[in-house]
Amino acid sequence: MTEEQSRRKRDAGQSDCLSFTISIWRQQGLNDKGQMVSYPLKRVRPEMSFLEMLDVLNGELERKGEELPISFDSDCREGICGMCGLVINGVAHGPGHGTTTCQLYMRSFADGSTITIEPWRAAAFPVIKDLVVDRSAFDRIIQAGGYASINSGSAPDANSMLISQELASEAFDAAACIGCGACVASCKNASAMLFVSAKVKHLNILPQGQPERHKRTVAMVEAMQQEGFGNCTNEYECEAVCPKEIAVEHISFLNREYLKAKVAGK
Amino acid sequence: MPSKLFSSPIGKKMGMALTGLILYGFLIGHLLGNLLLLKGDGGQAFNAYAEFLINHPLLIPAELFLVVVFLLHVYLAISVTRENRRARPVGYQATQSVGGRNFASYTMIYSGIIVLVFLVLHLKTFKYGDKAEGTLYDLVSATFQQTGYLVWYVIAMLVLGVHLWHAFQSAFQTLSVRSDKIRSLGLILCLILALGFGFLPVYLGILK
Ligand code: HEM
Ligand code: SF4
Ligand code: FES
Repeated sequence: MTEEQSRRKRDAGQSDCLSFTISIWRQQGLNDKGQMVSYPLKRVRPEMSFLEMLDVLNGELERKGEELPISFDSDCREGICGMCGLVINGVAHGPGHGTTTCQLYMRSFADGSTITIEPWRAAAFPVIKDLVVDRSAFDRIIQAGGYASINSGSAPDANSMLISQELASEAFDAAACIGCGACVASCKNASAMLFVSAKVKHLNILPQGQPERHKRTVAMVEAMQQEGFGNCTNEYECEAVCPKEIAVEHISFLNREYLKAKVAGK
Repeated sequence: MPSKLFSSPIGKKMGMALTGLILYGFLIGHLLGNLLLLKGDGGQAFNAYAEFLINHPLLIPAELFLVVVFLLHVYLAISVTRENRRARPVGYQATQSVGGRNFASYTMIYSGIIVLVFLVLHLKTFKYGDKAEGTLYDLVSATFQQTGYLVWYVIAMLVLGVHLWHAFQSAFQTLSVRSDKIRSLGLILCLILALGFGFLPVYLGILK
């Protein structure tokens, strides 16, 4: 329902609330097998965010007291922290381009439809409970090389290191990655190449990143492999769901950087 | 450390891309040679060309090279595919493609295996086939008179075309070259190869 339709309904004294069947992955813990469970849900307002809809569902579950509420991750609820990853109707972060789950609104779903909600699926992202997965594999990849060692002693002179606007923008585009893991979730091989390529690029093209450039590339690719992410087969599902619209050109860049690092003997 | 190149995810994919493109090159050459079958001279030109290749001193090294490249491609394909399956042990209940996934891209291992089976049979029939009765051209013509063989051959070529459709742009993306021109070129090439290799047996077996 668009805002316009919903306003018209309200003006005519009709309820503009939506109802859905929510089919959701329930799993008690790491070693539980887990299963899909369906819940009918009425009185969902079109302007509610997807996470607010889950809050409402959890409120009902708590009132009934028969089942534990559904566990899901969220933090900022404004599209910048990367915590809220859910696979909605088979698409990471659901319908809509360049948005996280928390920035998705219930007006994007047809009244009366069934909405399927599943956690990120990857060997490297084990499901801890219901929709919550452990994404610390990404942290370990960052620890392997996603930093620049800079002497933070005294403040450097302003403009002592010149960086062009173009380069700064390019690095910023890459740095926009929030580490949400949607790229892994959407890839049929659970490959983390888009994430790693964004992290490698945003440091490798800046002067501050040069001293550790080759070491970083190799260390992060090796960490990615050790965590058990799959290999990229160039199907470009990752860029289509990335909330920060990181493009697959970053992956080409990473491949090139990796080859350069190997040629340099790293 | 450089030694880890070929066991790394990126190194493996670069290996697949390079070996795949070399095989691609071979296919183009092979199709050009086979076009001599269309000459309508009772196979004179085609037989002469075959004769020329068989007596060429570089034939054996070239064949060995192709065998190694092919086996490497298959080995890497199996290794990459197995790792990819392991990386997603539990799948989704609902799946939907919103990016570039298509029929060709998610069936690469299956189209590849069909091409592998085809290739073994193909070599057995033609390269190591019984040529005591006549020339290679006679053997080829006679083989395509068999409807079953003809149908299987054409289907296998269409499957090859599907493999090549995803393969071409994928190889270039892996090797860091990505453009719409490459995508279009890949589509044109896979159509030429699949339809070209698919048409020859139809011509020899039915039209001629
Ligand atoms: C004449 C025969 C063949 C040619 C010309 C060819 C060509 C290619 C090319 C160019 C690629 C793209 C590489 C990349 O994604 O970077 C590719 C991928 C692939 N090939 Fe082949 N191939 C052939 C035979 C085979 C065979 C026999 C198999 C398997 C048994 C196979 C399995 C695969 C697989 C699984 C991929 C996908 C890998 C991926 O997407 O990561 N191919 N092929
Ligand atoms: S590349 Fe995009 S989809 Fe992947 S982790 Fe970063 S922001 Fe999320
Ligand atoms: S909750 Fe922070 S991005 Fe969605």
